Amino acid sequence: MPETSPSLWREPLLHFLIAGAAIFAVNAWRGPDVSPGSDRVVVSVDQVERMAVLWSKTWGRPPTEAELQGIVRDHIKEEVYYREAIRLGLDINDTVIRRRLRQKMEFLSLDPLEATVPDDTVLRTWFDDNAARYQIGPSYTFEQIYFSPDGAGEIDAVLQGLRAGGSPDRVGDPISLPRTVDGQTEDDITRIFGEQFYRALDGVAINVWQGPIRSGFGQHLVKISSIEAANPPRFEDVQRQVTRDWMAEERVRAEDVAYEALRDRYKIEIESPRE
Amino acid sequence: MRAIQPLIADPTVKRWHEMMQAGGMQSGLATREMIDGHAAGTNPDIMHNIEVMGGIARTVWSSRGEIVEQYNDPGDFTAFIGYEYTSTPGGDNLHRVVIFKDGIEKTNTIMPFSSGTSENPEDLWAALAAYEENTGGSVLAIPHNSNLSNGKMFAFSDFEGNPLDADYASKRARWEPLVEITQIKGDSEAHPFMSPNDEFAGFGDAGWERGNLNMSGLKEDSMLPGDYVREALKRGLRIESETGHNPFKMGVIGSTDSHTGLATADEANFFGKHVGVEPNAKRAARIAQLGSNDVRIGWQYLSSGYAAVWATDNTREALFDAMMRKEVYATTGPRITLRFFGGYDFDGDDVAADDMVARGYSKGVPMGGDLPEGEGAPSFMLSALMDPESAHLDRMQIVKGWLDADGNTQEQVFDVVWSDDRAIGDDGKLPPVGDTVDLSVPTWSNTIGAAELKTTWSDPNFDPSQAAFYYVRAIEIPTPRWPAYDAVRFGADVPEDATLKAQERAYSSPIWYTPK
Repeated sequence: MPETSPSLWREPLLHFLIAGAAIFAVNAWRGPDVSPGSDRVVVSVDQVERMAVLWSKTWGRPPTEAELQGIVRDHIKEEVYYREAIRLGLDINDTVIRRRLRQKMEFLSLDPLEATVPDDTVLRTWFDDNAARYQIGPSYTFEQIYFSPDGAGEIDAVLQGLRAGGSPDRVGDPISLPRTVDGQTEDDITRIFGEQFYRALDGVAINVWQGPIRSGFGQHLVKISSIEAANPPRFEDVQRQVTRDWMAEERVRAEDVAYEALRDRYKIEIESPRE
Repeated sequence: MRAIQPLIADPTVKRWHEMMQAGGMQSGLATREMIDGHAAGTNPDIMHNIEVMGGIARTVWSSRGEIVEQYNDPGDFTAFIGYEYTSTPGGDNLHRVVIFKDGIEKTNTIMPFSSGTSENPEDLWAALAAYEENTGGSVLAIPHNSNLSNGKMFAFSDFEGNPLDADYASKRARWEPLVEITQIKGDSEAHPFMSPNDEFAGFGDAGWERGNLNMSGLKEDSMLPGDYVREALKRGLRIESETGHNPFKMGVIGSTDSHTGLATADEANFFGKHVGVEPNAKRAARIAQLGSNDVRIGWQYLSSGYAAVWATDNTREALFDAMMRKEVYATTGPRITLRFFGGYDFDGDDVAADDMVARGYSKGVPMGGDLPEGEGAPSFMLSALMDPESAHLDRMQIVKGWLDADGNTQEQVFDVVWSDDRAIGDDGKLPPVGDTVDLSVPTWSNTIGAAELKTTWSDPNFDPSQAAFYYVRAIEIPTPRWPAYDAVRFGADVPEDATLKAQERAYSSPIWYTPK
């Protein structure tokens, strides 16, 4: 396709491929570079021991003599392939290798932090600044009566009856939901009745049958007997949570700092698209 | 314990370590020195020692364990230590999730068993056995995506191609009490090829049924039986009759297999498998490549599933024990509350009673159990309560599999309780529940279906001489799938053949009957 050739010759990818082919051809003709030391693969006693230990940790038993020989053979194979691959430049611009190296750098920047145990003063200060995160909502005690979508027609009559002092025992429709809920908070109530129901409890008058309140199941009449606000969180009660949250924040910060220190060594240019 | 210890024996590395600890500018300076040293070739020799530096990678296992420990709050939030064993010979998926009952004091004495070490799951089991023996700990493995194994996950032969024997069967049953039956890369319950009379068998099979994990191997019909859980449960009965052990006596769970750390198996809140396919206008129509030959389109990914465990406490110990006794079930996303008990003298009063569950335990066995010996045909008590954030229920079914007098496996699906006033038709089928989905919003309406279904059922064809299993499938009314939400929210391009509605479901673990 002659009409595409001129632009094709300007493609960096093509230059790269030609350069690669040329290097490969030269290597094939000349043989790989032989520099001092690099043509020796030495497997030390220490290395063999370490390989045996790692093997034991994976398999849960020490390797047999034959298995150990296998590990060493495999190690040598990996070493040879590794060196040849480096020699051929196969590590360059490999997405997987780049990502792996990035992970290693990120991991190195965090490693010292992992060993850090913050002292109480640091944590308490941090807790004071973030106390709202640890405040739990009120706990509710209530009775509820369920009405299926089919039974919803009678709900007003039942409500009037209850308010007139009628018994809640034999009204409503059967369903495997608790009739009474005793001192439970948002998580529990939401798990049983769903979010819609929990939100509707807010602002409902106390000690009188109210409704209907909707849930995913259908409709409910409720009689709340108490709403107790939770005490403000105390550091002692949430110390573990605070420690993990502090560490999670520190991890992000430490990684940012380490990265920024490295990035500052580079002059970064983002070219604008050509007009 | 930390790999950094041998490193900081070196004075230069020790100084850098202290600078790193100091943080801020100091840590930045240390990093610069290190990089300059690397470029100039003047860094301490120990940093070129591959064993020491390799050890840093190995600390990933132990440091992740420490993070899991930080978040494990017994009674409130249970975090298990575990890993994935990703055996994929020739692209055929034999992956297992390995879960420990124990904390880091035990798990950090070992290294995860990698598929790079051996792709033969029997070697994994040997390593798990050694772990238990050496540490006194407990561990189990859960296979997933059998649907992408091209017949290998539940084959009649082992990894080397030998027929399954008693040793293999008993080991597999020992280490793999559960299987993941549904997840983001398709549903593995059943396939219409083996279950042509089951109109609900094709759920979540589209795309995934065409080949193995990365489509390097195409699927042939003969591979399908080795890929799906219902067939495995049937095969298990046959292998047990031949070897005395059932290798596929598995409870079932669902899980997302998403790599986002998010529990987003809800259709209206689906965040995809990984960060590359978070909600956007293109994801439903794109090929999300698991390999260079992949042909699966975005919409074929399922917003599924979850694992439910009936345990006495929310702790590692109680949850692990419940998993070992298979008292678990799977859902494709909705948080349906599912109960299933088997026994011999349940009656209508039991299932209607406020203490139905207590009666279930006292008069029978729960899901995952074995029916004891009894008089006459077994009866089953089952109930499903809808997810209050999701849809009404269409029906509950019992799926029975058995080994007939000729040694052949059979299956039958029974509709046992359903919503609305429907009657079983002349064809023996319950008519469909209807469809209230409005794709323009999208939404549905709970004007059909029921908030709760429950009943007692006895097997009309029970034969005490035949081995059998029974499990429950509870099915919701039709609801919009995630691509339908994308279509409205993003004006997304959704392929014409994409499935936009589905009937989500829960699967119980089976209850087995074994003749004397």
